[in-house]
Amino acid sequence: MTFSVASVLRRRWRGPKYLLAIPAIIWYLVFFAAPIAFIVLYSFGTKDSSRLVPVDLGSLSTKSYSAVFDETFFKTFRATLRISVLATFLCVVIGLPVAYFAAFKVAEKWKAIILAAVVVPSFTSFLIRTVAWRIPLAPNGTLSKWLVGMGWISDNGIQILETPMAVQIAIVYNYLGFMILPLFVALDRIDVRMREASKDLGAGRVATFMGVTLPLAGPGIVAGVLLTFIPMCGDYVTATVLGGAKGNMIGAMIASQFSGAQNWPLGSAMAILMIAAVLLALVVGFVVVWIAPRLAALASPVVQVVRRKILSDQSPASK
Amino acid sequence: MYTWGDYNDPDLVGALAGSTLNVTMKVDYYASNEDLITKLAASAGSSGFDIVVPTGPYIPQMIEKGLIQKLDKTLIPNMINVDPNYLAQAWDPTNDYSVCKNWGTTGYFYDTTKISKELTTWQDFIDTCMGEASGNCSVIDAAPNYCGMWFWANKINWNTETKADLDACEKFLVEEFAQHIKAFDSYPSTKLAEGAYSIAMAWNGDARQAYVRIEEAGGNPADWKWVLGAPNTELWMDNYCVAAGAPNAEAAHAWINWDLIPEISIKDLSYHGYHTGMKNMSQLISEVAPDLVKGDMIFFGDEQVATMQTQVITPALDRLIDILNKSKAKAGADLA
Amino acid sequence: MRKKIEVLPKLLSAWTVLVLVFLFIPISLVFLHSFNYGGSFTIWSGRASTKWWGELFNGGVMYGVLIRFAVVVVAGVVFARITKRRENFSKRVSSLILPLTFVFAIVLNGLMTEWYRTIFDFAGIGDSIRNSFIAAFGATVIAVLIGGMSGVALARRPGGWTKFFMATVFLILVTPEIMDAIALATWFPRIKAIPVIGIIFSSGWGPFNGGINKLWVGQSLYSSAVVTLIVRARLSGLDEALEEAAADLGAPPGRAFRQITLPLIASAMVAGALLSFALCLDNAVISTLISEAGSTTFPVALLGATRSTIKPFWGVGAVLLFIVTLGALWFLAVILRRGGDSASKIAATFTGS
Repeated sequence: MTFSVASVLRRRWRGPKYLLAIPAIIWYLVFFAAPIAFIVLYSFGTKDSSRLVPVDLGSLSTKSYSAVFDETFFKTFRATLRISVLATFLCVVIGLPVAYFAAFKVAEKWKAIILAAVVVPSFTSFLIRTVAWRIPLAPNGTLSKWLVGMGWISDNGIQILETPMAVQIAIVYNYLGFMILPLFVALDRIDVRMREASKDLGAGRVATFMGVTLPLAGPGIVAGVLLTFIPMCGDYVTATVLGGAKGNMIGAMIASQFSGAQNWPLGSAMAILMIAAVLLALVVGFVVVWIAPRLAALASPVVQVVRRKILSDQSPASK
Repeated sequence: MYTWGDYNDPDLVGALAGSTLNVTMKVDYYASNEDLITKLAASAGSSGFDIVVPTGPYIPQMIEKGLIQKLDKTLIPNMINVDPNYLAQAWDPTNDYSVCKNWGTTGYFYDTTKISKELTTWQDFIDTCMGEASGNCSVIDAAPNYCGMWFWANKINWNTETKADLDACEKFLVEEFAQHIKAFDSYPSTKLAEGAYSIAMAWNGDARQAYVRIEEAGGNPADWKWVLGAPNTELWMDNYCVAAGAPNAEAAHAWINWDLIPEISIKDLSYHGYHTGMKNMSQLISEVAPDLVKGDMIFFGDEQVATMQTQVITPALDRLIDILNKSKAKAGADLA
Repeated sequence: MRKKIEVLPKLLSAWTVLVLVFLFIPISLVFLHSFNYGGSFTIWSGRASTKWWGELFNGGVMYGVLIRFAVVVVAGVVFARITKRRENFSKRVSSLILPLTFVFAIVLNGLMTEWYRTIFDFAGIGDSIRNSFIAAFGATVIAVLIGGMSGVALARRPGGWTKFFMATVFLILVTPEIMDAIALATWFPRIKAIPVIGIIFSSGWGPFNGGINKLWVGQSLYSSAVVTLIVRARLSGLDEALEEAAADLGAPPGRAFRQITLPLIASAMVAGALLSFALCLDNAVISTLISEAGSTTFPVALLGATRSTIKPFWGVGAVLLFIVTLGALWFLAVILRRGGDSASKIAATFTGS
């Protein structure tokens, strides 16, 4: 491989520019684009359980889509989005102070330790971590008995397992690391002088944070949201292990259409609508993110002043 | 082997199979017969499974779809140890394809400290789930059992194909009952011990295991009561079959044969808690496992067995699955 | 005013500690409950026991393993110390000694005892762990090959195609896993109809049969996109002039690539590979829907087991996998540090920016 790549380099790409990407393009066509195209096709078919591929493509219809919009299914949709949006929000709120602390308030050595501590739990089996939440949350568990003993909760113990609450807790837990890391990277890149200049100009710490730090951390927040919100929406494991009937999420519902229920058209339609919903939520989210710093900038002319001051210092950003 | 959850003594599929038979077992689990058939059908003879354990009534369609192969009976001489009552069932009259693994039934299990009423029938179960234990009950995650509960309570044959019955069942389960369900859980034993439910529909063997788990969790097993479903309930029989295209058919036969040795079979029985259909069962138990606990949850009297009905696969099954799925959606939706 | 300044960092550090505790609660419970005496992972029976750990804690075996481990590691530490003092020894090499010692200690123990087999084969999870490694390894090789190549192409030969390709990569990253899972699960039965690829899949040999190849495909999608981004980010931060200069100076193309380009992207490739390996090792959603009997991985088997009682040995398996993954990450950190990267840069490499 080495040699072929090298000779391509030498020839200054006389072939098509995407030559090196051809394996990837083929791979993605065969194993990504084509299968998903079929899912789109199946979503317009009708269920026919007598066949090996249990879909009748003879008569295409949008029946499955209207079935998804049936009240009960639609509610699971809404519940999934609600859990994911809330969990993403909680991840930002919980993770931002940690990332901020690691980026600005500690020595280099401690940065490494904090980051390692954040990342390490993510490398234990996702499933066993999720299952492990059953231990502290069990109504007959040690924690529950202790809380009852202290008289802080009712005699029934912790009533969280098999509810959306358990899913909410575990999902925040499972994805928190994926939020903290990009937040840290973005914050860490911020030129300290920007913040100092802002303070020198008399802006309070709140104004500095809102006007300088937060807008500059924008890309990190965006990356973090992408890394957490999307997998959350399709999460199949957390809800299956902890959610019970009430914490059902759309991911588990889609999977069951393909394994147990054998209703491929319905499952396909659900999956497509889920992606549409995810993308819609992202667009809405980004519009908000796009507007917010501009509003903040309007509200805080300090930023403009700071930017100008830095430019006038003529010190090129070196980080 | 592709089987139901926690369905064999780990020794028998692990170390002991290795040392006695020189066979290494790999075990995967499925949650319903539909899952099993889907997985086998999807790979059309190349699933890689050797032994599968379908419930009786599903066997004819598996034969028809070519998912299981004929047993080589010469490799399973121990089939003579099986009580003839449990051989030659309607789904496989000559036992060419299957041999009884064990049979069991369905009932429910509840915490007497949380539920004050004495419960005896399916109607009691339904009422309790909708009343005292609302939001704190679990049901088996398999369509025939879930719908069967309502049919039995209303004295309708659970194999009914009558549209009116099915409609009434759907109406009740989806619109009135589903919202009270906490979980669809085919193996509630561990979660009962964690305290997640106060009442759970369960297969007898799993309910029996719940006693062990509850004790481990520091609870008092005497607080819990097992009720056999009434007026009618299910009798299911799971069978060893060899999958079509099994890569290790010979070892599969050897293992099945080994599991049909009475002593081995009883060892298995005392683990999973289901009647394995051996001849002279009561004598065997007193010889091999005299200290077996909770035998009344394994062996049932004749008049109890008379109330049990075997499932028949009918076109209505699709409808039952549909009811289960709608109930799941409904159960999950009321908080949204 | 002075006092107010002191309060904020304290609050922040307290919060950070709290969050870290939150992150470590379930992990420590997994460790604890893998020593549970009872028959269920989630229910603590009140007694600890090493019975689920198989032979590892059986007296003589354990001491043997520990002694060998200690001897090798101590020797490694001493050796590392000596080499650090010597000036003719490059620092790059000496910093690698310790991790290599660990690897050596594990391999040595594996060669001299059967303890891997006795633990990993316990209760049938041995096969699933082995399958996890084979699947993750294959998927990583694919991801690094196709991701690395397209990363180089994106950074060095941008053009009209870049937009489309990046859009595809972005789509792969934002598609929820469950979608890929169902798409592939319904795609594989049809794949026989495709020329060449269909033949490899339907009548494959060795590892190309038995479903592992499906896992390679499924797991490689996301991770190859990640590798692409990481390599692209690393290369576009570096000046192409270096490579051109080498060519202008008459370096043979093979050598220019080996000595200039490869070192530039090597750390990005290694980072991508290890990240991809860790992601694949833990993949549950895609793997569950497409795996077959012969290719059940640890997460797939565990997901199956969650339907009934989860035995404590699943915790044991998870702990062992955790140690392996952690070792890989540590190794990576050492490699990146060797190149002079700070913690911040390592984190940045991982997030592909």
